[in-house]
Amino acid sequence: VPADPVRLGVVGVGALALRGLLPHLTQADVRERVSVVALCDPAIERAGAAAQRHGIPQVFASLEELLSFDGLDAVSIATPIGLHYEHCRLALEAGKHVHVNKTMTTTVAEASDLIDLARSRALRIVASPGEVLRPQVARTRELLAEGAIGRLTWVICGAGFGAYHEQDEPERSDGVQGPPINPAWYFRIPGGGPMFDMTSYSLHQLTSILGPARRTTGLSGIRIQERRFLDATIQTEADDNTILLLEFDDKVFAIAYGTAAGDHSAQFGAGTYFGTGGVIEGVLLNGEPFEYPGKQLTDNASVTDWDAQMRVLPDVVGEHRQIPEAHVFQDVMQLVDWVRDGTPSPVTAEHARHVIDIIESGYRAAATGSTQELSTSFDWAGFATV
Amino acid sequence: LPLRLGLVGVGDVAQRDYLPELGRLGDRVVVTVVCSRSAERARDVADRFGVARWTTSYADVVAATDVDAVLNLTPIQKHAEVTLAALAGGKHVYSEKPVAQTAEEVLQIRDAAAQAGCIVVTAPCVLLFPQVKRAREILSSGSLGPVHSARGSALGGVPPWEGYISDPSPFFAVDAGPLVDMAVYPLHALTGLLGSARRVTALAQQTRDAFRIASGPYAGKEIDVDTADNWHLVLELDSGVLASVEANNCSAGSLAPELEIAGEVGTMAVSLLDVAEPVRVLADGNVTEHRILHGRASGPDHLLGVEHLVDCIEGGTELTLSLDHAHHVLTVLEAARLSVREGRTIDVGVRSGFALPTAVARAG
Repeated sequence: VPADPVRLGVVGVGALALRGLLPHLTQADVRERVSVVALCDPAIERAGAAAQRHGIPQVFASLEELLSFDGLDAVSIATPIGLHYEHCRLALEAGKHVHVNKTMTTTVAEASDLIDLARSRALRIVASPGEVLRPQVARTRELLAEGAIGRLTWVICGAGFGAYHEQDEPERSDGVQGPPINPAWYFRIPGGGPMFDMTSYSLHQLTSILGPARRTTGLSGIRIQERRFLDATIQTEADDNTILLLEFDDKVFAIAYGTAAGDHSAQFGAGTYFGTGGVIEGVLLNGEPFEYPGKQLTDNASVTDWDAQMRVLPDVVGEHRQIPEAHVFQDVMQLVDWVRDGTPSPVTAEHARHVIDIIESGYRAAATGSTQELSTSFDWAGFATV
Repeated sequence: LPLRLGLVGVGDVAQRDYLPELGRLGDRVVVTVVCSRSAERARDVADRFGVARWTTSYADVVAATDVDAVLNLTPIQKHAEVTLAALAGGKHVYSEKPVAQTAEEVLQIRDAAAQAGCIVVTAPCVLLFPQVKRAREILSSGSLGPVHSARGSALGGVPPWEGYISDPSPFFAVDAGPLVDMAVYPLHALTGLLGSARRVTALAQQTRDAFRIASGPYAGKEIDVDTADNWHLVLELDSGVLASVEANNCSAGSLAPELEIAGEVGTMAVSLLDVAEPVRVLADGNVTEHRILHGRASGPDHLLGVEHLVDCIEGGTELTLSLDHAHHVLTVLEAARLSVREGRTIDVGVRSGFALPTAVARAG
């Protein structure tokens, strides 16, 4: 007998929820697994309009109200990163399973607190981004283990902020009920800056492939003092230009950057792996596309079409292929399936904590000028280095 | 320092909706005296709710030096008299609804308040109910589309209800009944959300001459009914919206929401009697419930009106439960009576000065 659908509340009806989470999670093909029963956002006009559009029966203006509602099994936290810890904690305290979009918290201490709390209550946390699920990432790990580029020497990965949030997300103003969705928090403390927002993806991918890092050092600061959103000026308070140096086992080094603008590769967020016998850059091995399960789905797309690459995921079928943020949808489905059938997600909170450790320690290294030992690790299947 | 309250009238409503709830205002208020015509009731209430002093004369309360504000919870026919006395004594006032029996009396109260430099907050505080505030936000967002039609109702709700311990006769006296006791809820909500009425027409009837009280201290007593108890009003608002309001005391109840506002894109249903009820919005064939967590578990929350008085006295809060609004609603009630008597549609005439919410401009 199939289990009932997981009754999910979405916390935060911003650009991500409007663009990706809600359209994906209300498609007919997942109705037997997940049911979005409630939305929560203090901007209730926006939340109410989204609920109408997607046939979601309940709207709440505050998380406390949402969590006092009986008919809820789990929440997906899609609020600003600086609020994740507080929101995630409240949800766990209320006995709900939690999916957190992007970076789970901004400190290791907060992450550990959530992990302990979830364990003590037998609740599940899935903290995206779930790069570990992507076949390209799994295949990169295999290629390295097979010695496809000889002996790995170093890696560069990361992402540039650009003007994505203030200029390239039409969901923030087009057709939004009530005031536009202000991206100011991306430039404020806590939780702002490209490391938590974008490099988080690269670091999940990097550590899925190489395992836990051991030490970090770096430089960090503010490069662009002001951003413009519609007619408003946003002062930058969080570092927007950060470059970290990471040490893995056996003297493998990596550069991980979150810059104000500029990417080293045309494949957004992808890592470039240099070895004694070649280079893997994103989905290219020595300049030629390599094979991976599901590659045929991207054959009509350029290797630089990041969205197409991010759609090669088990639940991203049919209509889901037309809807943005498919990878976030897949992360939520990890939690849904875990709650329904008890199969743990490979997207672990301990892994998310390790990425947070890298960012937090990297900022500390930049502030103090001292290389920082990383204190966290996570279970990693590993590969035999050649 | 806490605001010192004197309660005049400590019957069923005071004991159900005010005294047990005042603790939610914490140390912002303290009840220093309670007043009832019945010494037995005054003493009993003072004992049970830990009030230091009781009296049987409201003149004591309005003259007391340890009272800053009077909560006027007397029967309908005494509201204006007690409020005017309190203002003469220099006290701020919270008055149960209706604040007076005629629109003219409201103007007298307004003048007296201005002269005394005192604040008068008028029930019903339905505009402060959390779900009505939410309804206003939804309306302001424009998500219902242009609004042309609305309906309100208040069926039942007049005492005696289950467990009622007082003599309900005042509710059935001439010019009392469900029109003044209950229609004020939907009328305050409708005009507060959608703006004032310019024309009113009504039909009304009296369905019974008397009834016998079934239970409680007055069980077996026959109560004369001297007022119409089945009212249907149709209003044309300044915004152009057509609205109907039904208030009667001859129904077992209602399955319909107490307030429904219909727009071209969405229709919204709002409870005016239960803060636990979500706002329901119907659009595109989907019903979405806006649930609002609130300090009182269920039922009406009259304490919000008292809190509003405290807020206004402490300063920084604009008075929204105004005499101007109460005056407008009483004008509508008088127009409804005149319409029934003369069988025609009544121009409400002079506009009241109460502030029109921004939603109205969008809705109209």
